[in-house]
Amino acid sequence: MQDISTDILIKASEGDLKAFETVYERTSGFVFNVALRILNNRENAEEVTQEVFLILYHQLKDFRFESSFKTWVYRITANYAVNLAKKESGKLRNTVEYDETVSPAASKLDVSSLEVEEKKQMIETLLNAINPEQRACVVLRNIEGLSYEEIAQALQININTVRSRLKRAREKLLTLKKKVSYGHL
Amino acid sequence: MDICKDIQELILTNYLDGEVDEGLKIRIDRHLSECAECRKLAAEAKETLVVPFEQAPAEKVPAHLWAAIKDKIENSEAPAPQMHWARRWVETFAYLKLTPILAGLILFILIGPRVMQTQEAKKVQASEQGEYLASLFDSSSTLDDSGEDEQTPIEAYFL
Repeated sequence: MQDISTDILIKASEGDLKAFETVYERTSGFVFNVALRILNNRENAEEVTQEVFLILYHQLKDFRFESSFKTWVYRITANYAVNLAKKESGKLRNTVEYDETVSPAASKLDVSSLEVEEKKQMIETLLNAINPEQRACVVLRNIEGLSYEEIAQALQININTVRSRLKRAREKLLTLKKKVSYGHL
Repeated sequence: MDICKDIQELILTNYLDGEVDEGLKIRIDRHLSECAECRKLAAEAKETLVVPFEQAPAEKVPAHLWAAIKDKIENSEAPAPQMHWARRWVETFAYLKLTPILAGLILFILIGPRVMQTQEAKKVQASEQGEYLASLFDSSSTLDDSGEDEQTPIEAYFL
């Protein structure tokens, strides 16, 4: 995320739409991408991005500058996306139980030969194998590069929970990888 | 082995994410150089759990999103955000040119009690001095309620 000056944040918090557009330009990239990875659905990611910026516009006046603005935006985005992902997975039974079923896309897992589309497909497949809360941790750690401390702050959980979610997610992903590899043979 | 179990847990978490201190990292690296199973897991974890995400292409934000957000803000029935609380205070004082008053108020809060205490002490001191002088006059028994017309020896001398 590009740095945003305090002055721009204050102007945006007072309803200055031009200043808020600057905030949007500098943060919308990661808001949309985090939402997209957690939800694995473009339409829902757009919905989350819109909602996050409406929340930001109206709540920016209460931002106290005591915590990092970036962490605050991650928190709003991740919470909103995880909640929507849970709702969606409950509604559509979207989350495939990879312990029992391996999706056709997963059979293409071969890192060295992937093109851009295949890379996207593989990321989607990997993320679909884990639950939304684990997904949020993996996205914030592996894609956004946040530290355990920053993830804990963004998701409002303790560091041990971050660690255990990552561990379970990764164990599951390794199991999936093995199944796919054996399935290939 | 128990040590392998602990190391494998660290491989999947702190070690993989660079969240170990130098001492622990050296110990894990030493173990990896001696244990083929853990070494294999570390390589597999990096290949499967780190590399694909590092290579994940970032998606572009759809161009129509800002227009949709702006439209919702402009047509929202919710009131526009108020001025930021910190700025509101600063601007109010600046607008009303209350800075000298505020400075005076702070000065009064800091120094006022001390000045008042000093003045009170002076009053007490003056009162005590007055009482002392009066007692001196009393002791000379030249001034009392019954003899207002009588002259003191000094008055008698000059008059």
